[in-house]
Amino acid sequence: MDIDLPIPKQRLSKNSIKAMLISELIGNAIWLPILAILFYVDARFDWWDWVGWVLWVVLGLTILSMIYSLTIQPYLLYKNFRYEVDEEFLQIKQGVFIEKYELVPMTKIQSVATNQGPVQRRYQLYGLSVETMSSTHTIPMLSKEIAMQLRNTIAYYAKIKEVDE
Amino acid sequence: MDYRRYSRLTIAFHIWGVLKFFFFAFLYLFIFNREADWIGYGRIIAAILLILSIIFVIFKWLTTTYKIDEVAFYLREGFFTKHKRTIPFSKVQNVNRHTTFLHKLIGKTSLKFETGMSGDGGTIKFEVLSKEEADHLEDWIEKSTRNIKVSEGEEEKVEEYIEDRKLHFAASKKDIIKASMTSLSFLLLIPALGSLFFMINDFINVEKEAEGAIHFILSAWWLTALVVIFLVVASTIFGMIKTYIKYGNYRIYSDVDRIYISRGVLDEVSFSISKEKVQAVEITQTLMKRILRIAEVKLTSAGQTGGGGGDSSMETSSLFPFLPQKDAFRLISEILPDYEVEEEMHKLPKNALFARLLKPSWLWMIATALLYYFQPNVLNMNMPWWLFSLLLLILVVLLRVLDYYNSRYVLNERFIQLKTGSLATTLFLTRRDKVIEIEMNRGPLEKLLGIAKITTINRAQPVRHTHMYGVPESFRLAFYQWYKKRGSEIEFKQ
Repeated sequence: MDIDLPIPKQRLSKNSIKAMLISELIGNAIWLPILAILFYVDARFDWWDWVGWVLWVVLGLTILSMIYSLTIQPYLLYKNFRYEVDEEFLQIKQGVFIEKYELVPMTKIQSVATNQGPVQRRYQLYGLSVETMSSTHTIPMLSKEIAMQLRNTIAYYAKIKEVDE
Repeated sequence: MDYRRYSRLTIAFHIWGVLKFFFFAFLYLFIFNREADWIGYGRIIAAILLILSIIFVIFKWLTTTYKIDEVAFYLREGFFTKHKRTIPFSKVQNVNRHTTFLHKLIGKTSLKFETGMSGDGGTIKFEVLSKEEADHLEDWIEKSTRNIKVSEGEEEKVEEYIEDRKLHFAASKKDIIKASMTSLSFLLLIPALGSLFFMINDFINVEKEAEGAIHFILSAWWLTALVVIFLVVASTIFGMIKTYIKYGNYRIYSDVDRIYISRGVLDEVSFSISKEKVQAVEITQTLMKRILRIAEVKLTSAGQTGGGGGDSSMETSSLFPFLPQKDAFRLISEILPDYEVEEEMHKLPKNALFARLLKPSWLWMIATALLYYFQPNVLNMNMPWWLFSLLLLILVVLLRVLDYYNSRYVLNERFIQLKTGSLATTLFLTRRDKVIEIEMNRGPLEKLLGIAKITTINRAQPVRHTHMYGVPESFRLAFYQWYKKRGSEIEFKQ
């Protein structure tokens, strides 16, 4: 259809799928024991009835989200994340269910930074966060080379300011 | 020019503020409460606090100095830790002048320069200065900013500049009367009336116990009628006087570069903003205003820090809140000649109505769950809980339908106009170069119906997001392409 928006060209690093899987695994590995302890404490100290119900609901939701986040979610996130940087705009399109398309003029960018968590370090990946007057836009999981290059490009274009600021 | 202190009268004003703050505490401690045991300590503590506050005021005045040169304000303050601040004139977004009754008595005024920076550091405030000084200062800053522009190669602009201000609007008596009606001040009458009725009823009941009930009701009836007439007249007059004091002398001027708004009879407030710094224009109408065909036109500025002056400084960016609807568009194009208002706007497609109705209402769901759980017996009417839920659902649906019918959108060369709202409506108008970011969203439902949500983000305090839900996909693309072309009308600086 010709009434669709043009899709930004760049994608995240391929490794991001693996990295997202690992961090989901770690997250679940931390959360499940906590939940188990809560179940144990609930049984041991005879908490109110409704606490047990809430815990079962939480467990159900956790299992559902685990099934989703450990199978197709990382792939879908990767597939649906696109960005593009030129001398005038930063464009980001993201979202698996709700599609969000942002268009940020380079001149309105106030700062740009790279960051790296432990899982990202394992795969040599960097996240890029771009700050504007209204919010922070993040491009997670780029390869080192591209992240540094992109940071410098954005920093270069963002130096140019408009007259009325 | 060297660093200098603010006017000595600033101390007097601050001490006046301190005294006002302590007034009720002292009234309580020294007049009403002479017996309690702890009163002695209370008095001592209050007195010490008062003296400390006054000393603090004086020290603050002694240690705060400022300097002004061709390009910036320089402020030095602090007693133990010294702060220095430099605020370039180019960052000033708007100027506020507030002449309180107290200022008027001594023939002075106060002046506030607001910048786009948030927090206390963003405003430069001169609390007491003479009118001439204020005029001089405002002129100085305006001329200096213009000089900077000249050095950037815009020399024609200075020659164009003519020193006269053109009057665009002055509130007439009729406007003030209409305003006092719209502000609903007379509605306060109903609760006041109710409580008064019960009070008098009680009073007469006690006096005329012996006489018959019929006689009592009759006598109370004419008494009530008298009271009602009195109250209606009194509250109308009161409302009008209140409105007159606040909005009397309302004037809107402009010259080539700036817009000037002033209002107030006892407290005079005036506001001025450079036309270039107007980020957006908004026309808002509450239900009452829509019925009376009145509108409020507001200028959005990035510099409304809102601090200090409270709501009074916020309101001043409004071009008269009770403007006749037909004058609103005329006024905008008069004072902002490069703004074009398009009166023909597009309606949303039918699908936008379906989407609005299909979206789950969290408010209704939560309210229904609460109603089911508590099953309240409102006003002893014995209505089943689901009836309330149903009424709420009808209300929610009605508001959504109204929102659909009121929504309008249009792109007009460099401008975008978005109108939303169910009972009260807002028409938002901004220029492409003032939009700092855009966003377009759609979920599975919207995708199916071929619609989307678009958002413009503008500078304001705080940053303003304006949404339009339900535009067709073709417009989403047009909106995207429109914004992509913003580079063509923007000047860059080094």
